[in-house]
Amino acid sequence: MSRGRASRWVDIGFRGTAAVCSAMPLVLLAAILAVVVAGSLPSIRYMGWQFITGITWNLGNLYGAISVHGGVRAPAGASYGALVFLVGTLASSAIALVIAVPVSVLTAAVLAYQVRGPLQSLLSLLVELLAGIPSVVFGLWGILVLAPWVGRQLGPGIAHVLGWVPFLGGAAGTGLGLLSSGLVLALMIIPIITAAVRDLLMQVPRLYREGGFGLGLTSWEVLRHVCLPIVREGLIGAVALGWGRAMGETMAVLMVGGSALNQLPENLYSPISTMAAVIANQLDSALTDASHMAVHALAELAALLLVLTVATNLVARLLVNRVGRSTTVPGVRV
Amino acid sequence: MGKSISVAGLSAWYGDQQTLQSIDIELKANTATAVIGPSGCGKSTFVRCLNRLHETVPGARMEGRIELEEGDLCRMHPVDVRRIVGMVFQKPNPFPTLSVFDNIALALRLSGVRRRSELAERVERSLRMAALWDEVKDRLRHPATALSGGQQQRLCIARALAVEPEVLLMDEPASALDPVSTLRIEELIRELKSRYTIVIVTHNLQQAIRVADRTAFFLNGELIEFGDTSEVFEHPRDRRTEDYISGRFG
Repeated sequence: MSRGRASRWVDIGFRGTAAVCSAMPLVLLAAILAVVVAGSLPSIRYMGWQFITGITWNLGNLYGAISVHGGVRAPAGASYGALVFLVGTLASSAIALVIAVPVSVLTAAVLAYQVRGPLQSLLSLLVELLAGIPSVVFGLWGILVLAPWVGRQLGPGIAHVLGWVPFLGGAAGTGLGLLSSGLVLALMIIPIITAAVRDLLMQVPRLYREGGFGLGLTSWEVLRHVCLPIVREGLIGAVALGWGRAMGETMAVLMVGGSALNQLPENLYSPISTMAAVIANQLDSALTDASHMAVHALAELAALLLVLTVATNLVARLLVNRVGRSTTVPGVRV
Repeated sequence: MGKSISVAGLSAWYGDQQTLQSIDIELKANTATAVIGPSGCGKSTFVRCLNRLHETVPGARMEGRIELEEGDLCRMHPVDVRRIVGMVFQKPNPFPTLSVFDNIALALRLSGVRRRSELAERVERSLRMAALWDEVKDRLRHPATALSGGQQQRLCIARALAVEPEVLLMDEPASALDPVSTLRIEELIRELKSRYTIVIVTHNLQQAIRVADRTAFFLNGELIEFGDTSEVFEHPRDRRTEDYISGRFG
């Protein structure tokens, strides 16, 4: 029958397309990984471990003679030490987490337990809208509003009160730096962590919370001692999710980070650069390097960042999924 | 020692729906009072008002007076109320992340008991009162969820007793348990009522007869009849009580 033959071909076409499409994520991941790893090989040979221990990032004399070092060609005087960027990435994302985690957990608790009906939907929507703001808008706001405030009020204020604590003293400068980056990143990851934690908290059976209330525990004690332990693994996952996002974030930290080169942050207000920001910032100059070593170095930076973010995401996924399965708590017929 | 509770004009709502209609009732000290009635009659809401748990449900509210020796429960801080009026729930709900020991010790620690020896002593005393000590004394550090359903429920009773309440509310405490565990819980209630004022919601009329000195019959949010258990079951004054206990509805 003609219809049967036609539909058979359609089906073959469908299956073929579906197979190609479904293979795409894997192929893409493998391809990207292959490109950054292959791209970084010359840089790995050129710099060795000094790539992650060195602080000097110098493209060398791009118009001078090309020297050979470790069997690979690079411009004279070139040095690619990414420690500054590694520290910038870890420090700014750590500050973001320190701010974002408590805020997110408390917001999530309000969303999950304290409000209901239209108000709950409205507040949840607002939090999710925050996640939809383009990162360049956060960056612009950071430059125009946040950094001046950090430079004039917040920074000097912290330095005045907590100046005796290491890293918290010192001049706040323009405000463009570590603290502003951490704050902007915190704002960007709060919606992500909040939404994940809210969903986790809503999975906690009301029965357990009432068990806590029934013993005379306060709302905070029930959250702290009953609900959060139940969702503990998922909570770690949600934090890792936010962390991965904070490390990979590019535009906003490029705009408010202060673009540090060749110097480690001395205090909370020092300018920094993150790995992602440096890749975006330096690619243009790197492309003028005739030996291509600068591009290889950026590729190595990308590989390092990819490893960090994929690892945190993977851990996050594993932990979040594990809680999803274990919230039907064993031994209790709910 | 248990204390008596005197309830006056207690009404409760979920959103716009009124689930309790101006209840007046006197719950005597050191007696077990059974609260019976068909599903949705407000009996659970009633006991949940007595420890102010009702109002933790978003949209729920209550009004009226619940007088204890300490004063009107409705005017006290709910956290203080729940220290005086303990509760055991329909389904065993030990904290799933905590050990047997910590399930009981948590509330004690949070109320300021710090010394290990005192904690251990009070945990043991509570477990003994809940007739669970002998079964779990070698498993105190095991997760509470590893216990059987009946043991979990007795753990929840021990947990409630540990904070030394004067009133113990039980919302169908045996409905999720097998017959043997149910009998153990009932035995326990008969023992505990010499020391506590007990209010037990039950679907099981035989259970009310077995454990309760007094019985209250609720229907559509109203208290229809309240008296000695034997009176209520043998000579009900209200036709609706008679219909319910003789199995004509509910």
